[in-house]
Amino acid sequence: MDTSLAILLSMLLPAAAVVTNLLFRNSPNLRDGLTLGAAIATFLVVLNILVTVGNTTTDTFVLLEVMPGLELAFNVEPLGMMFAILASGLWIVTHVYGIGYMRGNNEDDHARFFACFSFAIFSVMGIAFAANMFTLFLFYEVLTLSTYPLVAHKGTLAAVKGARTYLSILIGTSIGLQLVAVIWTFAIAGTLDFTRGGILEGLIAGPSVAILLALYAFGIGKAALMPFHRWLPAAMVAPTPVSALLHAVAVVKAGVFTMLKVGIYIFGIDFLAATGASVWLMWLAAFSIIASSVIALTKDNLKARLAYSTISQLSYITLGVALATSMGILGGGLHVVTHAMGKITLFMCAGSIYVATHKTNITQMTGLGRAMPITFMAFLIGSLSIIGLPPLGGSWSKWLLIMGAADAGQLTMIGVLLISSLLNVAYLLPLVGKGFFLKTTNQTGPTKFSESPTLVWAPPAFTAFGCIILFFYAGHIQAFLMPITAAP
Amino acid sequence: MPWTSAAVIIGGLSLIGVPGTAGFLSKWLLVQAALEQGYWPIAMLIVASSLLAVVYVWRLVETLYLSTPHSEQTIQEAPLSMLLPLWIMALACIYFGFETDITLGAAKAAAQALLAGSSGMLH
Repeated sequence: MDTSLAILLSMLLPAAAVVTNLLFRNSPNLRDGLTLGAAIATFLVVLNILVTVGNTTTDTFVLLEVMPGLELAFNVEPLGMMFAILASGLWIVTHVYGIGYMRGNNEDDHARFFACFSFAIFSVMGIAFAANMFTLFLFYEVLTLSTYPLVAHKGTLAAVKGARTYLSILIGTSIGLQLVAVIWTFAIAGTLDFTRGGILEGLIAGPSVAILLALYAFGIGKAALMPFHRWLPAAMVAPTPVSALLHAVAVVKAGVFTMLKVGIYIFGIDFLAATGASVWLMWLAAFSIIASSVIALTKDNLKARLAYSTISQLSYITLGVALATSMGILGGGLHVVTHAMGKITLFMCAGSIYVATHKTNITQMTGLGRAMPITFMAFLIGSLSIIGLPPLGGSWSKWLLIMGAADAGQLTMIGVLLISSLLNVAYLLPLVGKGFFLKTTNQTGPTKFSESPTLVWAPPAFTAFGCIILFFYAGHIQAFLMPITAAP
Repeated sequence: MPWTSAAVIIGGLSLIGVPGTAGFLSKWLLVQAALEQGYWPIAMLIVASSLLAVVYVWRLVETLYLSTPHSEQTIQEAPLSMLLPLWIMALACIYFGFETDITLGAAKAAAQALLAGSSGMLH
């Protein structure tokens, strides 16, 4: 298949799913079946691009020129390719899970829910294949708007308030800071094309470099860098499939993906290293890592704890960019995949516990492991991957980040990553331990085997297995990403 | 009134200046011009006005979609003769977010005529 056509198809298929969801709103099986078909087809189209293009960068395919120099344009490059595979592949898993969750939980408005979900995937594909910052920014905003109805889905007062926080922080940072950064970049460089080695070297100097980087780093609110992280816990009012795919994978990864793209293709890591403009960002990312892990320890609501854990893990990737070394960005890139696989497992487990028992707080989950062994085993595997222990995928990305910190001569950062691992142990493993080894304290909890419906427990078991697979194939992903570190 | 409400959202997004709408491009040009001239405060004010637009547009969206309607009266969608022009304008907001030959061309011609006119009077 022609690559340009394939890129278009990867966006049109999710867009078509939006339409079919609205058209067949009253026939649930047809509607959900068609969306599943669209998800599988999208994944196959993306795989097709992988097979024909591999990890090289293709020529830009210009869909249309909006203003002179500003084009809606797409191409394939290693990071975007990886992101597209990740998002489209996990869309299939999450859709299956979503059907089970929404039906098992008797939620309302399935059609609107799955339509917005598909719309979000459409924008993620646009972000993954964007060839310039203008296109990326456009789809970045579409992603914010399409996920707003999902956060507000339940329509309760808490949901409306959470959604308001979500929208105001994400739109506020992107229009107030990121857009200014983008236009400033365009004004000095005359282009916004993602170019190996960056487009700014020699055109900007002094403190302006750090200021521009700050406008980007804070403007990319989806990366949840402190102090613009509050939207992520606020988004947890959404149904769990949304938290799983969008707020552990698609939306937050779109944020750190943008961060990586800006660091690698707008500034260029050599330029960042030479000017030292990213040193402050490194310290801020380190602060975010530790501070949000400590906050996670204090949260009893499982989804809130996972949300703060995500904020911490996203800052790993920002840290990778800020280190401005090859190993740092490789580790950051790999962490996009390994964290996605681990965290989606944890969120789907949280949803599974909720569907089976309607429990949301960790203290209520004591002893549940014996009743729900599959869910709790998946949770254990996902946790170990997030902590970064072999034989699970998460160990490699953490390893690369530590190497990156060593290359940059930042030994403190190695310490930060190690302390973070210990904190991860402290906030993730007690749930599993108490779940398996303690007896239920109250009499309301189930004592014999009572797993959630198959469609709800099977997806997290599958992604937990994925965490193990990633350990053995991380080397392939690293080799795949290698071109992003090459000099122009 | 699903059709009217959806059009309200599109128009609102263009007022905010979300990318992909006509309002985005005019804002882009204004900010770019301000930055090129070094007028940082002006650029920031333009951006701030967008953020204010988010606030007032979203109050409307929350009222339209997330409040419980008064159940006493049954409300019907407006007649087609009202919906049609309304949707033509809403779609134009998006169309002119991508197609700029007409708008930008006309604006350029007007700008040139105005600038030429005023300099003509000066000399």
